[in-house]
Amino acid sequence: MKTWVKVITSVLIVIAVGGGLGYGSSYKIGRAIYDAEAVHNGPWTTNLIQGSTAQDIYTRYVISIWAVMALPRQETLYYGTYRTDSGEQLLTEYDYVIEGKNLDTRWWSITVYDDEGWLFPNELNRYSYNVDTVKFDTDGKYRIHLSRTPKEGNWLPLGNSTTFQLLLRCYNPGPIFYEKPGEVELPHVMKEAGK
Amino acid sequence: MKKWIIWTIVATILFAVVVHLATVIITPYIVMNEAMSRFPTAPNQLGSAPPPKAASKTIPLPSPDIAYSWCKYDVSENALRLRLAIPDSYWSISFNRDNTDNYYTMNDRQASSKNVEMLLVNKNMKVQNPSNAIVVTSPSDRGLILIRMIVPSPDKMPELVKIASQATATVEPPGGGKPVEKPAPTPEGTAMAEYTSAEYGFSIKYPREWQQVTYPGTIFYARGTAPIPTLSVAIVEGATFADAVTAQLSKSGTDIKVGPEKEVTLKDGTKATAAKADWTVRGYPGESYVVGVKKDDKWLVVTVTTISMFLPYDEAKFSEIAHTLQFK
Repeated sequence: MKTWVKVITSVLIVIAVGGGLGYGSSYKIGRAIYDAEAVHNGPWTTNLIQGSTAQDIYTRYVISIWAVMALPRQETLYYGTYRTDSGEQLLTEYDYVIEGKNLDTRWWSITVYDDEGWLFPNELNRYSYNVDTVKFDTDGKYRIHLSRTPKEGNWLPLGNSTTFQLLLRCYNPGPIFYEKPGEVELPHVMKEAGK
Repeated sequence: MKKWIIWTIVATILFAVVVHLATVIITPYIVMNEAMSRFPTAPNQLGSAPPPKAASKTIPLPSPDIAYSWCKYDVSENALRLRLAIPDSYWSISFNRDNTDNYYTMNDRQASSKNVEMLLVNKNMKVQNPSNAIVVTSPSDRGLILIRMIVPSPDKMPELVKIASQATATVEPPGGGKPVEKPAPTPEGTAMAEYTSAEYGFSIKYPREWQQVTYPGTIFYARGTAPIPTLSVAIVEGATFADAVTAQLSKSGTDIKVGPEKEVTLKDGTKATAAKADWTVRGYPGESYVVGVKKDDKWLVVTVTTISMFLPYDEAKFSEIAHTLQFK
C-alpha cells in the first residue's frame, strides 16, 4: 500500500473510531460511575455529592445533564426513581400508588415528571404533593394515585410520554437521613391492582 | 502486525481518551452557559417568576411548589451587592459557578435577620466591607444565583411576590464607592426607553428598567423584572377592536373577556380605542390594558399585562405606557 493511502486511512480511523468511542463512552462510563457512587433506598436513588464542589468530573457531568442547579446535600436530599418497589419501570399506561408516612424533614414534596424532566400538562396544573398539600388517611399514611384518568383523594395526572419519573425532595432533612440515607423509610411505589 | 496498523490502534485509543475526557469536562460549562441564556434578564439583574407550570421549560426538573428568583452574575470587573428580604417560610439562596457547581448556599434559618446584605466578589478582588455584608467569593467570573421560596399555599403568593420584589442587586467597585449602576427603579415617567419601528411607522415608550425580548406573534415585546408587567405591540386582523384583541391575546391565553370600549386620542392626535381585558394567561388570571388603532384592514394592538395575584393591575400606569404610542 502506498504511504499516502496508509496515512489517510489511519487519520480517518483515528477520527471516526476514536472520536466515536470517546464521545459515546462518556455518558455510559459517567452514568456507571454515578450509579456506583449513588445511594439506593428501595426504588429510590440519591447522590450525596451532587451539585456541590466535592463532585468528581463524572458526577458533575451526569448531574449537569439531569439536574443542573441542584442544591447540595446539607440543604436538600433528592431521591429519584424510574421504578416501582418491585423494580418495574414506571410507564404512563399503568396506574400506580405512592404510599408513605410523614418524613423527618423541614419540608418534603413528591413531583411527577416525564422522561425528559418536564411537568405533565394538565387542567388542574397539579404536578406534585407536599407535606402541606397531601391528605393523610386515618392510619397516618398518605396515598397518592398516579394515573391518566382522575382518581379520588390525592391524585397526580400522568401524561403521554411512555416512561416517567418521580422526584422526592427532602428539604433540611433530619440527622437520620445523613446517617442512614439508604435505610431511612421512604414512600413505597406500587403498581395498582388490576392494571 | 504491520507497524502502521499498530500506530493507528494506539492513536485511536489516545484520541478516544482525549475526546472522552473533553466531553466529560466541557459539557457542564456548555450546559451552564445554555441554562443561563434561558433566564430572561440582563447580567447582574434580579428576576423572579411564579412557581413553574408545565409550560415553563427553563431548566429540567423544576419544582412546581417553589417561587424562583435568579440573577445571572458577572463579577469580572465589579462586585455585586445583594440586599435581600427573607420570608417566614423556607427561603434559600445558592450560588452556582460556570461549571454548575454550587459553591455557597444559605437558608432563612442560617440568615441573621429578615434582611440580609451579601457582597459577591471574584477571587482576585480586595474587598472593603464597612457594612458587614456576607462576602461570597465566586470561583468564576460568571455564574448564576438562584433564590428558592417554598409556597406553602397559593394565598401566600402575594406576600412572597412582595418579598421577592424587595430584593435588589447593585454593581459596585470592589474597593467600595458609588454604585456603578443605579439599582432602584427611577421614578415613574422620568426614565423611559423608546422603541421605534421604521417598518410600521410607530414609536412607543416603556420604563427603562424593563427588558426587551423577542416574543412570537409580536412586533415589539418588553417586560418588567418580575417578569411582569409585559408590554406588547402586534399587528392583527379583526373586523372589530374586540375581535383584534381576542385574536392577539388568544396567542398566549384563553377565556378572553374584553371590557367596555372607549374612544381615546393619542398624543399625536391619532384616534384609538381602549379597553380593559380579563383573560387566563398560562393558567393565571391576567389583566390587560389594551389600545388599538385601525390601520387599513388591520389593527395595531398595544397590550400592557399583569397577573394580578403577583402584581396588582394599575390602570393609571398601564394606560400611561400604552398611550405613549405615536405614529410618524
